[in-house]
Amino acid sequence: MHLSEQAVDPPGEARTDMQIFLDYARRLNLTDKDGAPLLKWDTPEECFEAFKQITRGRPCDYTGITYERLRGSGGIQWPCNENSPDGAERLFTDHHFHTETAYTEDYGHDLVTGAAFERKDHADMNAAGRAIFKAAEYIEPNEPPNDDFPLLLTTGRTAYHFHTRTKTGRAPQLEAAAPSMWLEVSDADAARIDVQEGDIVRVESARGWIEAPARITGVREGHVFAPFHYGYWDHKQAGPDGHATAANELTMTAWDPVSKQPTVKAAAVRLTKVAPANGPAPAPTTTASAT
Amino acid sequence: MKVAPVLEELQDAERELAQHLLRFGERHALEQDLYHTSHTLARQCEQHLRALEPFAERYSAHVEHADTNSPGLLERMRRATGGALGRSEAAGKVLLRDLRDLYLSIQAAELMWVILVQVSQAARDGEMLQAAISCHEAAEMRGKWLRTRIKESAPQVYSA
Repeated sequence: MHLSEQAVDPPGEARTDMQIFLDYARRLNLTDKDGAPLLKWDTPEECFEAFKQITRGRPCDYTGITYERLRGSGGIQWPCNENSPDGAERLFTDHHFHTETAYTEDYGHDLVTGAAFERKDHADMNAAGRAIFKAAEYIEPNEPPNDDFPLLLTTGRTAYHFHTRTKTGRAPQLEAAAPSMWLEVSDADAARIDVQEGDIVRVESARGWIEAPARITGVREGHVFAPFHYGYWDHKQAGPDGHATAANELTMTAWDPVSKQPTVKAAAVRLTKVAPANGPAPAPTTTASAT
Repeated sequence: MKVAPVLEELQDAERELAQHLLRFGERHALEQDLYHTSHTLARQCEQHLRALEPFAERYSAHVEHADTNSPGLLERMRRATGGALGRSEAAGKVLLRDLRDLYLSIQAAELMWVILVQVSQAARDGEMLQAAISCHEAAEMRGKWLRTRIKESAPQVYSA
């Protein structure tokens, strides 16, 4: 756990998320069982103190952590309580897991369908402190390649950026290492449409298209890779200006059945050449994009 | 042992369930998780049908090859359902009714696997027993999935 303190005051009449949240709770007149206001705190630190009490005796026990201690450290790993006053670097060193049915916080889910297990399912397993190992069989992508869209797009990252670059795009060294959008195509697929390194290609799915210079690389034949870092915020706009680069717009709406995390990961696409190269693609020459 | 009729009924149940899942998934395509999971489970029905084929041959049961994943069937389904439902208060009630209806198809198939497990034991067919146990596990999970989804939807539909 780290402490990220407020850096600037909200501008103008804007309020912090926390102030809005508290205002909302008070207007709803939320009360505890004695009729007192449910939220008895005002500041982030007071909120943390209240939250600590919820974790007492639970796996992520924070009760030994304070703002004071966080400010004087590079972070503290929970659990931090009387038993491990300086936090714990490793969990489960005694090979005992939190799988007693009466203690566990979740009875678990089926990884394929998201079916929630009930108490009796968990009790039947009788894990009793042993770890639970889950497996799921291979499942086809939601949208396998077809005649109209014969290639499979996957989206992913470069080492230099995090998500849509709202932080890493402001670090000059990181931005210079991977400044703009590219697409990765295999030798064979590039040859089929007469594409050379750096040529501008269009990748199109049933939902949209993006255009970027092609990096001919060791990506598997039949696959196209697109980094998902390059949206439009740093062009001060919400959408493309004729040069679409946001890879997530090609993927379909789908989410993981258990975590509900949007997958934005795969789509059936077709690849076409749009214009000749102005030079090599701006892909990094290190990490996963290296040939 | 009269194993053939059990295998035939089981194949019917899995085939009907696959079609029910596809119809349901297309109709509720706006609920993306239902759309995708229905299609995944329809493909699973097809795997189950394939798993039954050697036993159908062994016990001379009638085999109707139904590739539930073929574009032909999917296309027919799309046309038959005439597009997905929209979002509205009524759509929530329709969804819940359709979920309950699908649950019956899922339970019908699950029970046939229970029966095949017992029949395999009586016939002392270890190979068929193993296949039946493994498919039954998946068949039970379909029911758990739908119970989970019904629990999610019910309060949203009825507390609105």
